[in-house]
Amino acid sequence: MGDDKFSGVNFDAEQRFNRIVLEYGERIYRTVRGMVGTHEDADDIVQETFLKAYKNIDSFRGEADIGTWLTRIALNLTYTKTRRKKLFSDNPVDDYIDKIGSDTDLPEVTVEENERRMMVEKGLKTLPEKQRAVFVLRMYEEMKFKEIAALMGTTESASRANFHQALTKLKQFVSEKS
Amino acid sequence: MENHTLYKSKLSDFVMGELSKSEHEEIKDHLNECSLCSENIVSLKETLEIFSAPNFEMPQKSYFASLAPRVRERSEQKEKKLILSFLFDNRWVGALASLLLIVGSALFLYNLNSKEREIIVQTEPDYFHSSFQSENYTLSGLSATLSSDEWQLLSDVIDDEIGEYIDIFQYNSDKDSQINRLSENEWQEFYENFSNQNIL
Repeated sequence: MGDDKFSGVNFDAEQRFNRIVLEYGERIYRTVRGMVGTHEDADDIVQETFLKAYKNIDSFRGEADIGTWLTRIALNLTYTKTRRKKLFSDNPVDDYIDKIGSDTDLPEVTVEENERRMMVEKGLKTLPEKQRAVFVLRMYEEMKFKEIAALMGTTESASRANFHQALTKLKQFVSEKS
Repeated sequence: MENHTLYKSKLSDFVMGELSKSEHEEIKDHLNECSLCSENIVSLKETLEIFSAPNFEMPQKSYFASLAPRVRERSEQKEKKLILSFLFDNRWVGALASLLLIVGSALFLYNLNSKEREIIVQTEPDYFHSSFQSENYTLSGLSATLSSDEWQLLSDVIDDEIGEYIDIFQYNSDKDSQINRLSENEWQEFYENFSNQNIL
């Protein structure tokens, strides 16, 4: 009769998937979390990203770097979800204070660090999604503009320009707040 | 100062350390001369310092360790949800409701139509009531609709009571008052016609 419990399970694919999640989980989370407002939203998108990867793991033949593939999925899901649900509230300060209480309940941080995070949160919110994505990938993932361009399906110079525009806007934002 | 605009456009690259050594030196020289660009550099550095780290803490390792099982669980839940949503799809429910409505309406209309052709067969002193459907039969301008079972039933009644006193009425459900009693001759004609057609 055989062991029916495991019939139809592709162990190779399952193990491969486990390795992928462990290897790229942090990277995907960091990118997504930089784009959205809360851990819950980020967690949802991260799970959805890996779910898509899980479903398509057999069809992935390694044409592109798997990290690039996953980041592309994650960004597309982020764009879709942020458009559908306004993840950044219209009241970012109150929203952030709420989040500090619930989401970033982690190690205690100084008042200055809280202020900095609030500034980052509000500043990133002012950026259009593409500029925000390029900024997050460059700053927090330390990706090269060439890699960002490949990931976003654009040119290196366009990515660079996006980053500079983002930085200029953020500089403006900081000077207005100071 | 004629290169100010060009240098200004490269200040971001300068603070990000993305210029070649020669370009870097060129900008540095310019910054010594240009107060506007120097101020700009200070602001950019300040901005980069603020934004150098993200606004969140990374979750603990356990979060990532449990990610794969949670994704699998989510996948299973989605599949179940998909099956349920297919079964309880509003379109299916709507189609089924429409179908039931159509069938119900058709049956209702059919029954309504049949009632108009109902025949009540009465014997005396006991009454025998029966509703008949299908197979139209015309007798002396009276219309009877009887099923084969009902014909059989009627046949039994007639066999038992033949030669005795039997009344057959035509019943019109819409006009209760218009119940016509068949005369003995009419009844004979009725019976003979049925017999001729081998119905009884």
